[in-house]
Amino acid sequence: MGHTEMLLAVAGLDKDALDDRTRRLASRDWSSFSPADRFAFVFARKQAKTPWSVTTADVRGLGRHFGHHRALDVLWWSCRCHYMTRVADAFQLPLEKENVFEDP
Amino acid sequence: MERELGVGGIDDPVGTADRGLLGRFYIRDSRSKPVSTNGHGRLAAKPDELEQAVMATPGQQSKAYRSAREAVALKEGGDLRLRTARAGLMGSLMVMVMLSSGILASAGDRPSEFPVLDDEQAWRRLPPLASGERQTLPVWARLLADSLPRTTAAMLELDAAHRARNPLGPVLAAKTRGEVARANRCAWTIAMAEADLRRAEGALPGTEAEDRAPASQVGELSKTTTPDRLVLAFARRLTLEADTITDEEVARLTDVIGEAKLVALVLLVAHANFQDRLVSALGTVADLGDPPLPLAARFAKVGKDGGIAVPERTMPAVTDAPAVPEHVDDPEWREFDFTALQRNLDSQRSRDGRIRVPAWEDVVATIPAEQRPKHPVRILWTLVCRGYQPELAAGWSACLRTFAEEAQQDRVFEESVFWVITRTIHCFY
Repeated sequence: MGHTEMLLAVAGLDKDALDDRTRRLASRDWSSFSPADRFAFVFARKQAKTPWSVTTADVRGLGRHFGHHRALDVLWWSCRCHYMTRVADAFQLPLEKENVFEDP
Repeated sequence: MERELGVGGIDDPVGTADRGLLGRFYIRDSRSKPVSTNGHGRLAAKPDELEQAVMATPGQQSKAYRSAREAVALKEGGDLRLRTARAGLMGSLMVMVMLSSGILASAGDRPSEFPVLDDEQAWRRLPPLASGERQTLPVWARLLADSLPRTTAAMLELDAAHRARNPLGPVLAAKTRGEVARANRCAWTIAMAEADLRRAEGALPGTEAEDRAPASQVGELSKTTTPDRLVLAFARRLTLEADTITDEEVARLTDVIGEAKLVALVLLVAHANFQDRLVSALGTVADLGDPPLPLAARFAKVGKDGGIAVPERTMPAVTDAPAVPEHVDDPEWREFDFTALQRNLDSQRSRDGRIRVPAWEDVVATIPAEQRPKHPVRILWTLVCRGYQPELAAGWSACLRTFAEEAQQDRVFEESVFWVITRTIHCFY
């Protein structure tokens, strides 16, 4: 597992559920996810590649799908991931073999 | 203060007709000191440096950043037009180089979709101060304070740690912050970094703007030292193309600045990428003035049960929301299928890291007794960040911890967003 998968496991997914979810995310078919989840994924992809291209409509869409306060949560989280990825990419530390996010 | 724009040979009929060569651009200030000179022709033109020079009028950064979204850039095949416009304040001649298909879109310079509290309202939402006094808050804090009050306080303290106390030193930290902001095209944080740089290089309040221009001001990168150039180049690459950075690049940088400063640099760039995206997406407005100073005060430690409630998160009726495609319409997404992604994870398990990982016994000594986890931390990058830069790492951990307590988002959803982002930027973790 990668870190994101380890964290999905800590979030409560067993091996089968985790495998199913990551396969669906990796596919081009996101129809099994809710519209709100899909909107967040699309937003996150756009913001990851070209953060300057995020528009009023993108942010307004988050608000319509999630409500004002939750939209800010989604936005904060999406931005937060870019802290983690820069640390990971810079140091290229070997991926741990066990789920290090779980209590031993 | 006036600047002049001279354009030589733009009408060159042979070059223009044969190779589309454009003339050189010279920008000088009122003392005829060169601010920026672009190379001859499209390929030698340096739009980033031209942009920076236009934006970096000392003492006028707020106006400069307001103009930044308009002022640039050169793009091959673009329809170049030059325009000069009188800017009112101090009679400056602002130079705007515009393209019909301009490549610089300055982010976040639009009204926010979210309510912006005024300073007083925002301070009332935040935890009480343990030391220091209230200051003008940055706009992002006023946008977040109601929904995420304790998180906002933690973010203000981390922002101050990077801007005022980053171990790179205030000058290099400000340059680095500006480099990331320019890569992310975030005008507000460009202005913040420029202001920090001027203060760091010894500027005194009230000094004439042009007298405060430091020798290493943007637009004169050739005068920066080699270690600085290495750091800035790394910061830009870690922002825009992190997955292509090589072991050799990091080894060379480590030789020059050492492991502890390497970690300080990475954490600064990481924080900047978080902050730029947040500022850009939150949306600000152009007339908010100069970014405020880093927070000098410290907040009282208020736990999740400390009486600062957060608004209830209520999902709206879905019928009001815009439609979302059910399929990923991007050929690039097919580049790595599930199997390929697993292979990349396997190779990540077997590779060597780029920095020595401190032992838990050394790391735990940096953690206050009341905050120590029950079990030793096994996450390697936590050991690295906390071991080499305890204050910066602890500041980020505080942001994460308070956000989790206040937002209480569904964790499967959160990690799915994380998964999508790591896949998008080829970060196989």
